[in-house]
Amino acid sequence: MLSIERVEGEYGSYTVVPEVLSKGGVGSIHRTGDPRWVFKRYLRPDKAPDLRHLRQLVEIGREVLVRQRAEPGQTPESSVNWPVDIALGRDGSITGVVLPAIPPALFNEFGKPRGLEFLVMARAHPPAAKGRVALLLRMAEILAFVNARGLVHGDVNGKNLAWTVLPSPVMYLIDCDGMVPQRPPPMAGVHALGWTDPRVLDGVVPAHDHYSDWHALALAMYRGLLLTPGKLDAKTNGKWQAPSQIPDALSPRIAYLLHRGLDDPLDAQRRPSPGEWANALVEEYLPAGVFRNSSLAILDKISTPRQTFTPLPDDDWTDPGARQRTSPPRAAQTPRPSAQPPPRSQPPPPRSQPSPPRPSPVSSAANGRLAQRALDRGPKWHILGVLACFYAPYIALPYVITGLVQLRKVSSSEPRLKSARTSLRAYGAIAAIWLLVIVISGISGA
Amino acid sequence: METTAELYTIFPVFLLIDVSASMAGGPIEAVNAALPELKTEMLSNPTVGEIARVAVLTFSDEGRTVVPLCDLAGAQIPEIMVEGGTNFAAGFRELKKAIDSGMASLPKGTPVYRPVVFFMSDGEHMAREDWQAALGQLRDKSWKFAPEVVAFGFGDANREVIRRVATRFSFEAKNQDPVVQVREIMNALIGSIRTTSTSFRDPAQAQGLHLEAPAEYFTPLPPLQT
Repeated sequence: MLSIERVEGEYGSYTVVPEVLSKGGVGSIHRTGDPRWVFKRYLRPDKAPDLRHLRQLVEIGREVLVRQRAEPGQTPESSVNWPVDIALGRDGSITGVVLPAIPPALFNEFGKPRGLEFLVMARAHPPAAKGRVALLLRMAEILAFVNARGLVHGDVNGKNLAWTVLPSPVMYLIDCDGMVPQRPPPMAGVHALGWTDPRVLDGVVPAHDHYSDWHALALAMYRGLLLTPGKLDAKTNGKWQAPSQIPDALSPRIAYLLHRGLDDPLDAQRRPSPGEWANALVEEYLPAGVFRNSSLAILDKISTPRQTFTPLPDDDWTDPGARQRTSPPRAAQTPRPSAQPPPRSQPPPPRSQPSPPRPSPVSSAANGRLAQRALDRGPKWHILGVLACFYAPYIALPYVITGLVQLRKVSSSEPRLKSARTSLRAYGAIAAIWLLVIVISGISGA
Repeated sequence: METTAELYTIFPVFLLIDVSASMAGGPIEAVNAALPELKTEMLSNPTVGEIARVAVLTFSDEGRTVVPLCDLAGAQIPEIMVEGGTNFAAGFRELKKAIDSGMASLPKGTPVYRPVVFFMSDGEHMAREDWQAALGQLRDKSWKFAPEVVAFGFGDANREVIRRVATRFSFEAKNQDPVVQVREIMNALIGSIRTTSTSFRDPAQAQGLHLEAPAEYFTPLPPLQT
């Protein structure tokens, strides 16, 4: 049986469960007796951050999380996993830090924090543009706050931001105990595949600085808005490549910021600041506090994964008549220059396929085919319906009754069925009342 | 715009698993329990899923490609069954075919690392034919897809043979229980795929292949001087 350990921090003592919740290259995470906090134990003292820097972070963390008791994700400052206490060994070396527990809503079905990679990689089925914009806006606002406090995160990557869109969008910056001041620029640090500042790879700077955070933010915008792999941390023929997957349909302002952030990866001064990103996203997609659906629709369109098959119309595939009427397949549409990787090898098919439903032997009219067509034509039929009710109610009524009978045969999964039924009943009522008025006025006149 | 631009470099991995009769019971069950975990790794770690392409092959009297090289996140993983004898040559021949067809199936222009094979066996070659000729063809340096072969031996595996199969790295499982041995080998494979996929280095280059074979469970075997 594992024994509970007592760890003394500078602000209090904590019971620490030896069982490891997660383990990284620097340390392991353990539960404490207080569900609000976890303990991060450094694997070796030399893996621990600088004590002076850590104390600065703890000071902010205690102000935000202990004194103000701000909920994670509520404000930019409470969206940072600040350390709130430090544990020192007998020799004065740092053995670990106390951190806020990551809120359960930010964990995915695999029991891990739902990282930024699940937001920016098409294969992870990220939310639609609205959710992505909201979360990327939060990311920019959080980094703007970190930046304004004169800090460098230094390892912004696909795992170090956790997010959720339910019940409302929350972005949360994690792995923050290694944050350092911007001045003097950091001399050492870590970096992750796909998120490394080309200046570090080229030896222009020894470690990630705050401009590297800005670079990672530009990468997140590029990948997250367009759902393109956007792996730009390797040279081609000895040269850094500018992003090649920015479509013409993207907002010119966003495209301009992407070019500024990524075209010349060695020119850090040109990179847009987090504040610039936040302003641009708000003005382009959320002006006056309301989502601009037209801009989001464009983003959804240009970030849709490439189709591998020619899209087929919605149809009743159980109806043999429908199959005969379907046009022969056209040549596959030329896909848009895709941000997505080309399709990989196809997985083998499932070993057994369910049997297709048997086609019904009845005619297409009996299958509600006429009503289905009427549904497909939409508004035109409504205008005709209203006119017919007033000008020829005696003709309209039988049609309404036929229509209702037909609708009973349309698939119950048809989303327009309910509104079509309501409309037809309304027409029927109008026609009946109008017919009654005509008949009564005829009788009275007589 | 070039569609292959800005893609992650693909890390092709081929698992070649001994399914001879001695694997019956616990060991094959451990393999069948671990393969879905490998698929879960691809789903729960999108960066690894984006980079690693995995094929699963078995060998006994014959070699079989159970899952061709693919993105395992979308693949159906069939149950692997125990078969008969142990024919390394059949396994290596099937492996060569699977590498050729798997690499050809990747979209043209996809950046790709040298394939890595994880070989695991609990026994010795029992067929009449010479297995070393088939291994020689697999390791023929003129073949453009000649893979890095990492070999794991357990149970009654012959240490020298395991060393011979590997290009650089070979390991012997320590635990006496074959079920634990298989489980630890599968954990080592999953960990190695995860770590290598998220590393900056080419797996074919020195220190580019990150093997997660903890000393607690494995004895590294010295490479043969070739």
